[in-house]
Amino acid sequence: MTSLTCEDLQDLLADFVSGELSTELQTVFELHRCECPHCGDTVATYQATITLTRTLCVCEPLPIAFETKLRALLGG
Amino acid sequence: MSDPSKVVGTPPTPEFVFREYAPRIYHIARRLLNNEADAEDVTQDVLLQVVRKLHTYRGESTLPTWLHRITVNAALAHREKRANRAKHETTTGDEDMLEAVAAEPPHGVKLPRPNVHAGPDELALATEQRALIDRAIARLPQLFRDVFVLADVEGIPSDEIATLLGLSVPAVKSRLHRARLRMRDLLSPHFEDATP
Repeated sequence: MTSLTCEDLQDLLADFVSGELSTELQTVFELHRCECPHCGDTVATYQATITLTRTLCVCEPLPIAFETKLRALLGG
Repeated sequence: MSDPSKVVGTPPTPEFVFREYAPRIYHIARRLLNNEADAEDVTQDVLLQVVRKLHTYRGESTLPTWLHRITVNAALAHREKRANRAKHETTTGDEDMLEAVAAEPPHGVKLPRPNVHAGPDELALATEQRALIDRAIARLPQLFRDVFVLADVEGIPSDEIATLLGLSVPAVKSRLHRARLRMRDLLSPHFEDATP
């Protein structure tokens, strides 16, 4: 494969971010991404969406009222 | 902090499970069910189940895997019960309206474009930025939301999600990709220097 369409690139995004593309596909993917501003932005925002979402599970406490209720229920 | 679940033959204490996992159980349930009251019911049920069964935990699977399984099963069962109840009740439509209003994204909140190699601990998002992402998740169709929450919020591997949800691994990957594209569409207007 020597080139990708914008649609091809979108289909390959998940494999790209998980590092599952073959070396050849990775090369044409990167080439298209650099030459096409629209796809460059798509890749950047797709990756940003994943990175930002991963922060949600860090330091999320229980609502205080619920924690109190739960501790009482569990005898803590 | 020592993790008793990693000591062979030593079941974790209820206090350890509560402290380390209750918030995670609650937030998984909240996102899967899109409802805080339902998430509280599920968390309570899961913790009571876990405390009762802790002495039977033998460490065949890791503690988080075991808890994920119990939480996801409880949330899915709760959702099914809720759906069955709704079938038998006349709805006024007010609930749908409330959910739609709650799901509207807040105005004026911007999201950074993080380094793709940044770990979750390195990015400190403000409360309203986290709320913005949470509201986008709430707007995903349930089919996509389940996979997205487990994979991208909780970081559970695809094969484990496939087992939890009774799907094939390719189906998990396909739904996850479509969910991410939908999330990207919802969040894109909020990225710093986003093109209008």
